[in-house]
Amino acid sequence: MTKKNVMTMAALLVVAGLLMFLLVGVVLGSSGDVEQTLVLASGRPLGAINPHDYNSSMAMLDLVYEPLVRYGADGSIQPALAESWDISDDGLTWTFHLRQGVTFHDGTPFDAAAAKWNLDRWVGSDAHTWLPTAARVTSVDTPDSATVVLTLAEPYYASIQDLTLVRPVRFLSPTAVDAAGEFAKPVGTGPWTIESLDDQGAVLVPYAAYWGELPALDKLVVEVIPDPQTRVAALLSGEVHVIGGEYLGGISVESLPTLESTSDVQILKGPALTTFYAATRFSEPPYDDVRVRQALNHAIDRQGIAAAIFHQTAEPAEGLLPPSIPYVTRTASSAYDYDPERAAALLAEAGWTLNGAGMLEKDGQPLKMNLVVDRSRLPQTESMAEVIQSEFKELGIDLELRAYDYSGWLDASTNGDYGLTMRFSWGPPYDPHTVLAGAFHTREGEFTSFCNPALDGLIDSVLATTDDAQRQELYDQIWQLLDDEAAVIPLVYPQRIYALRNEVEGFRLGGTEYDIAYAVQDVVIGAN
Amino acid sequence: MAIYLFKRISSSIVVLLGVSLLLYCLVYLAPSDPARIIAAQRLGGDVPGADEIEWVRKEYGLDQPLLVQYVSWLGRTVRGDLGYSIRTGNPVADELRHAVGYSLALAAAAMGLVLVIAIPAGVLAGMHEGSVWDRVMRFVSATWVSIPEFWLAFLLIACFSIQLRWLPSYGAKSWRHFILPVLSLGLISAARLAYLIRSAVLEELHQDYMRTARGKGYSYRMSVIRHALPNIVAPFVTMAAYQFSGLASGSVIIETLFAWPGVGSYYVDGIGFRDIPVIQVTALFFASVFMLANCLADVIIVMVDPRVRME
Repeated sequence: MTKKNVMTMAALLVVAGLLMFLLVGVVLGSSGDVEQTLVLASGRPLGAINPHDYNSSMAMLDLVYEPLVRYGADGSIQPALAESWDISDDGLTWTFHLRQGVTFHDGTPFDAAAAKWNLDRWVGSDAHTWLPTAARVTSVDTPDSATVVLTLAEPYYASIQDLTLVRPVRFLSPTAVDAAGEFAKPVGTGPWTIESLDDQGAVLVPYAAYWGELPALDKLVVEVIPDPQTRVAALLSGEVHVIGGEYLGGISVESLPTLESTSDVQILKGPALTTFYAATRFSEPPYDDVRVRQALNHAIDRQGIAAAIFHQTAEPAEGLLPPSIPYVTRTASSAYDYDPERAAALLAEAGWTLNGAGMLEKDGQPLKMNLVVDRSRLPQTESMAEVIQSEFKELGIDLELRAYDYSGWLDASTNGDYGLTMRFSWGPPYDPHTVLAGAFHTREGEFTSFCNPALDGLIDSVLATTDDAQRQELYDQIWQLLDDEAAVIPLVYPQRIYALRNEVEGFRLGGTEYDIAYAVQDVVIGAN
Repeated sequence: MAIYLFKRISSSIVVLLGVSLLLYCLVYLAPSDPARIIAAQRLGGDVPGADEIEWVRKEYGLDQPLLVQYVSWLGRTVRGDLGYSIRTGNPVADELRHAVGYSLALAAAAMGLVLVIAIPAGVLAGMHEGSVWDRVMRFVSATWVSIPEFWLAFLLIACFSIQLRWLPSYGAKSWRHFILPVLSLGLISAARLAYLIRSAVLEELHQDYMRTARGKGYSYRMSVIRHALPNIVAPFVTMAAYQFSGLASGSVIIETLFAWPGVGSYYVDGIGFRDIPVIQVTALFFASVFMLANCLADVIIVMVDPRVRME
């Protein structure tokens, strides 16, 4: 062969190779079947997925394990592993009728014995005293294989809400422990079962023998990506389909403009479930004067904060808890309106007058306050605190900012070493009762956001009431009292935010941020 | 030689003991009672009650005096029982061993990149002082040294993951996942080392023996290779050891950014969860790596450079 022929042959071969490559690429790229695998990003390591301790990802736990009852998307309690339940008139006996035909992922049947085995692991245990139901249940009985009866020492209406939680109330297969009874592997009754799990992530597939409707997806992948910016990058590059959510991995506010301007990605927002509020040292001057507390509430422009600092991803607070929480009603009070003139008038009434330097003074003492924040909770807390500082300064209040990390904040707050401290509520299903019982009720030697005997009485009654209408009435009285006393300074309700790639269809928000199984149930991955 | 080795190792051990005591105490000197922090972690971040705190205190042995705790911790650590992670309940020794593999792979690859770039660049720049190549290298070096690794990392991610979709932006699953973290770590360290090598080479080139070698008839290149370069082994090994220990233990930011499950990520997870056993052991690990690298560097220099041996 001449050199020219060899060159021609080589050129032809190369062209043919390229054409084939393109052809294969076209065929593969345009295949009609898009892989039905959803990839989620988790900001925290997943843990061992043990439902009875506190170290595993709540999102993963929700996918694998189920509760007796669920907190529905509309805030109502829905049947899950319990088909129905009866509560005795005195509120002390709770009878749960278990669903039939349910099996754990390893085939073990879910019956009253399995349920009792699980409940015995946390009821009455010292390790779970934070959960009011754990402290109040005195016995767990199984009259037959389809019924479980819980007996409480004192009535507590919110036990049903406690039972919709993730930790520690969900059900593990009794065969998934080792000889010593320690957790060995994650085996639940939920719609998803774990195919693989390591420190970089997990792969889940639907459980074929699930009692309910199977998820539409073929596979679910949860990737561990600790850095929030990297999660955004992974979403933009298409490696991950969904980011966001309190229990997966939050989206930082600074990333929102980038996400909003990207056409491949859509932002999903949900109504707020939690509150950021500032609690005062209400038993000491100057905070013990209700007029001062009222003035502080009027001094803050919550709309401005929601717009400027949260870029409209938070709603200005109009009361202690957002309207998505059960039993929350507004007292139609103007206790939280931004009204600096009213604030100034109230402070004057309380005896504070402006001195030569423009600062408020009473009996020669300047009005000095301090605000303690935990900057690790949310980056915006520090910015919020700075805005509050400048708004107080306009009134003549000298507010010192103390930004700590979590342990410093905890120390300062529990030691009472604060004038104002930034706190937050937990959202459903814990609220409204947990935040009230935990932070607004006198507790021996514990730090509370606000309390007084009248409020204690109302809270005790509302927790014990078995009549729903009466409960609502008592809650109304509580909200009225909190507003009248300007008990705390509610600031904003942060909204729920997720960012999804456009090809994700059917993702929906459940009643709580940990309802991930509900969120992905109907998801279908469309064409790119 | 053996005596030198013995002295060097024993002084390292003494320093490590001191460091371990400091680290152990530091965690408890931080504000807030560790039992309270651990109890609060279990609640997802809100305020724990006194009962929870007492339960945690007993469970984790935090009710003993500090020195007693330290001594028992030291005894266990030396025997290989590095404690259990509060977050996962797994033995810290197992988790650390798993993480070390990832970090070492990253550090070795990054160090390889550093050497491949820095040695030729630095030596050639030194040899041809004042040339175009030298000026370009100095400029590039000076600008790159000021770039933070994480900024470079995001730039690479934005370009290669988001825009071009050639490389993954996170994870440690395949060889392709190696590329961006190694580049982010290595390029800047390479710039730093190249500049240092150039300075060391220049210093040797201005010595009298170089003129003697040229006088004897060696070409410029041969006199550099046979006479100047061996003399920079000592400073070079010191610099390289420092770089390597920095890479092996200090790539905390890069590992967190790329979700690389190495010791840096493990440390950050431990701190975030206030996982005290993890924090103490991992910090001690970083200190040990640093000491080991320096020890090794000293030993290599003594072996290679006869001038040091004479002292």
